[in-house]
Amino acid sequence: MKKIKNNNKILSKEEIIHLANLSNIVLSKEEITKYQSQLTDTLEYIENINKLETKGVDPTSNVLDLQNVFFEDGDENKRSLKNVLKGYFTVKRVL
Amino acid sequence: MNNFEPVIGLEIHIELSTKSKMFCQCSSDYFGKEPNSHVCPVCLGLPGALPVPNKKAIEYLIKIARALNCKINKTSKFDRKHYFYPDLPKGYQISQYDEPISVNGKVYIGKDKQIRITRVHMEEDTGKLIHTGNKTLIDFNRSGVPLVEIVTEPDFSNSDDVKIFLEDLQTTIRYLNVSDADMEKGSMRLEPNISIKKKNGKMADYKVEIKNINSFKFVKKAIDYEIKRQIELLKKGITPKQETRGFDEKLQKTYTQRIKEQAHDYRYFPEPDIPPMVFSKDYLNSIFSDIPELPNKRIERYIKDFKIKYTDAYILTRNKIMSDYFERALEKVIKSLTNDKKTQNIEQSIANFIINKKIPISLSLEEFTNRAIKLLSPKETDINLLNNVIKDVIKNNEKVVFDYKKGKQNAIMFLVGQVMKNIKGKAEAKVVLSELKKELG
Amino acid sequence: MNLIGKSLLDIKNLISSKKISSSEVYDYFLKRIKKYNPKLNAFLSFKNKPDITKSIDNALLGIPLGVKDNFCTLSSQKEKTTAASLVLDNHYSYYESTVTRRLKDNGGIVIGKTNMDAWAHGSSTETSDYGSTKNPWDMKRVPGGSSGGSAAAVSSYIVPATIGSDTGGSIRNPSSWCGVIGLKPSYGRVSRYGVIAMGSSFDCPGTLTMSVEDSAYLLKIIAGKDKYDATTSYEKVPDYYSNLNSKKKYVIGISDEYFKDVDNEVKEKIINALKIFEKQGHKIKKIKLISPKLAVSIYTILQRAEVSSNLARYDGVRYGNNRTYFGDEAKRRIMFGSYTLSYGYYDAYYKKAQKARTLIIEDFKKAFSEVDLIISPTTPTTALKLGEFKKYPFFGEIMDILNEPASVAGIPAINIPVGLDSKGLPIGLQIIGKSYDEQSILNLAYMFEKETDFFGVIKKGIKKYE
Repeated sequence: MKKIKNNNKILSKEEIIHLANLSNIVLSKEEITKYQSQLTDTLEYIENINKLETKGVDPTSNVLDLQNVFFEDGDENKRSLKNVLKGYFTVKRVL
Repeated sequence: MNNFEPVIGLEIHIELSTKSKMFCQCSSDYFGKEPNSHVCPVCLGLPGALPVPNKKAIEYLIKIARALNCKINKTSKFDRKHYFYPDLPKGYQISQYDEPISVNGKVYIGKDKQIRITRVHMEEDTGKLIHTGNKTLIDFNRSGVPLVEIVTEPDFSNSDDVKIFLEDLQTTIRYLNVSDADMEKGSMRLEPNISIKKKNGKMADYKVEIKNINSFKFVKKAIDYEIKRQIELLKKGITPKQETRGFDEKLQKTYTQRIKEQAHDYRYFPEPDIPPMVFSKDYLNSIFSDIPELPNKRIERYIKDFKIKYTDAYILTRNKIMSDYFERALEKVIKSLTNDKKTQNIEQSIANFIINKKIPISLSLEEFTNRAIKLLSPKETDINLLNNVIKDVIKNNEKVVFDYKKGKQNAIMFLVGQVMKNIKGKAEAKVVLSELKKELG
Repeated sequence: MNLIGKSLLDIKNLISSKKISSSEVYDYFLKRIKKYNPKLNAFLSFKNKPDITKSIDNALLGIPLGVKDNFCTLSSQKEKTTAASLVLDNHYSYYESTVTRRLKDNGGIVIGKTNMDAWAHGSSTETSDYGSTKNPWDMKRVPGGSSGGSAAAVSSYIVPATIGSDTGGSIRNPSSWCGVIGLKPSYGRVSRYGVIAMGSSFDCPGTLTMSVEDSAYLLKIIAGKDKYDATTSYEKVPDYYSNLNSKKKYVIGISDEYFKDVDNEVKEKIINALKIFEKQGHKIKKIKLISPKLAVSIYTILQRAEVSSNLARYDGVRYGNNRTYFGDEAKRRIMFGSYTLSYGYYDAYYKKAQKARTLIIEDFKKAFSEVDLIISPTTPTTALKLGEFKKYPFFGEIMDILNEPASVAGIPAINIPVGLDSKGLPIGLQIIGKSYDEQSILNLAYMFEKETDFFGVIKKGIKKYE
């Protein structure tokens, strides 16, 4: 649940836990509390971005003017790790 | 089934037969190779590695999209799709989200059933997992192989149509020569999503995705089982759970794959390492012009120009090599026949020879033509042999000969039959009749 | 031979005129590293013997260089690439980055890997899992970051030049606090292949040197299109060094927004430098730019989103250790990034920031239609004390407030030292240029160097380590 305080959002414990799951990170109880306030602080600062009027503005995904950058199929593979790695990687059994 | 109507949509993945992988120069021919022998920093997701897209893979996708009558978007880009799983080395898959290469296509199954294609987009394959004991082994040879994802609208209402669609799709893709689209090898993968609605009612508010259908022969079984399972639940007043289910080949049932289904938050955002793609008309036209005549158009042409039956045209065009051969053989045979021998429907006859395997298509065109002409020509009769057989028949059928000479005209037909039997098809009935008449006077 | 204070090009000339051999040069700096690094902690690793390389008839003749430890390097002597994080404590790269490949192909030798903020997350080098680097000017202070090790190494002359990376100020900030020349090229000018990714649309490999000529010289070697990095530009690479021009006159823009909340002593030295530029015949013009505070927000959102994505591959399965080895700052940034990309928040944060980014780019384009270059302080303060960052909420981005706008726009910028404050700490001036106009930036910096010799700042710094 989000608590709204003067237009500033305070991140809840559940949200931090959810973020940790999304990020594949394990947090201790202390860390959850710490990050609650720290991430909220950061969110508060960046709220100023709403001062900028962006209606009708295109988003920039790439500062460059490049387009259609490809490689040719069948090009020589100069980066093969064929004889560097041998065999399988292993992890604990996945469900 | 009464008033329940299945609603089925498909998600199909096609592994392309490019030489290189989607974002690096590793060979994409990974099947049966030593584990982790076709890897490099890029497809292994090593620190600092960067993707560069394979031009040919994009062209292959555009061909598939065009064959499905899709619109190719003028601009397109890649996006990152995030989730954690050991077979996904970067922790995200490079895929396409809101600006796919193509959208809004349609195909017809049979004469007039329309299936709408929602989108066709480009992405990369994951590594392979092997579960053994309390460990999971990971092989990244397949990681980064180009995958084309085809999504249809939920326009199917039964498994037969799905099967026809898939077979046609497979044939078309093989014509394009962009993939061997083999379900058993994993170069064509199907994930149907199935729900049931009431006839004339609104769409269901759930859908079940089926994974792990590894062979053409199980497509129908898996879908039918699932439809039955859902209807039984609905009859009891239970709404089937929205979930992903696997298909068990041995038991031929679907089963729950995940106990708790959490909707994935993939946190898509544009792939910053790859500049966007812009497709000019010239570029697209050059790709389109490289597309061969596709099976459905070919069928139309065979029916119109060659006047052969639809079912035969369909069979001939299942395989491009076979239908190419058919046309070339037909042309050669027609050229070789002298005018008086050009009778009836030669095209249908040649088609029959191939379909019924009367003449193998492994023969050279020269040999095929020779055999075909022999089969098409009227048989030449060996007169001496015929006369000997006639003499024998007359000798052995005194009563019938007597009847004929007495005026019973039909009796000669019996004799014709006897001669035909004894000469073992080496003469035409007309010729036998006229020779008999001569002999009998 | 005592090489103290000799620039990279000075040393090259000595080698090519056979006054000293490259192995003697290597030994010279190796000795200095062994003497001063234990206190400075500028290098995370270094090699007692040079890797074998061709050291004749090429641009670098076997001169040793320091490379920030987020560049993947190969060595026959087993060299780690850790990004200063315990996650990669046992990581030996399987391949070479394009930048270090180009340096090596031109005769350069990597003598060691320099310390940094772990994953380049920070502006002080304090988040390194291997202890902070100290500022050579005052051991109780930080060198800045995230390329703190690279800056400190040049400042104390334990290596003649280093390579760093600048995402939101990570070359310029420590260059300012250590009193060296730090260049962030245009985005796409230098290949990122083999650089451990932090903010993919911001990361720029660059140089830290003791002279502008060295910077120009090295830039030519490492810049240019790379087929392994689809975001490198096709723009031709000029011979920056040969083209150094000390006659050209420029129109220089100044924006009040970039002088807000800046220490008075810093302001003083920047204004002083501007007077010198005026005397040289350049024109100073007041311009209006969007507040850097907004660029900070844009940068923070986009960079952390990219960070959360780029760090997803570190799971300990194929290399390195698992995610429990991530430090505090990394975890914080990853989660914040996930937040701004997550369902329901993407439009309000990430997409909004992308649109705002366009506005910043347009803002600079407009400014550069009136001026050739823009000058500002590099950092609002001089070097902070160790541990002082704790009083700033999101320290990294705040300290880099004056650097982030150029990062957001992808345009080039350089730091040059322009004096010392009353504590004897270096003050840095930033010159920002148009996309792919590194030449003008280098020219102006060169003119300042020739006129003032940076008021002896670099020499003073090295003198402490004679």
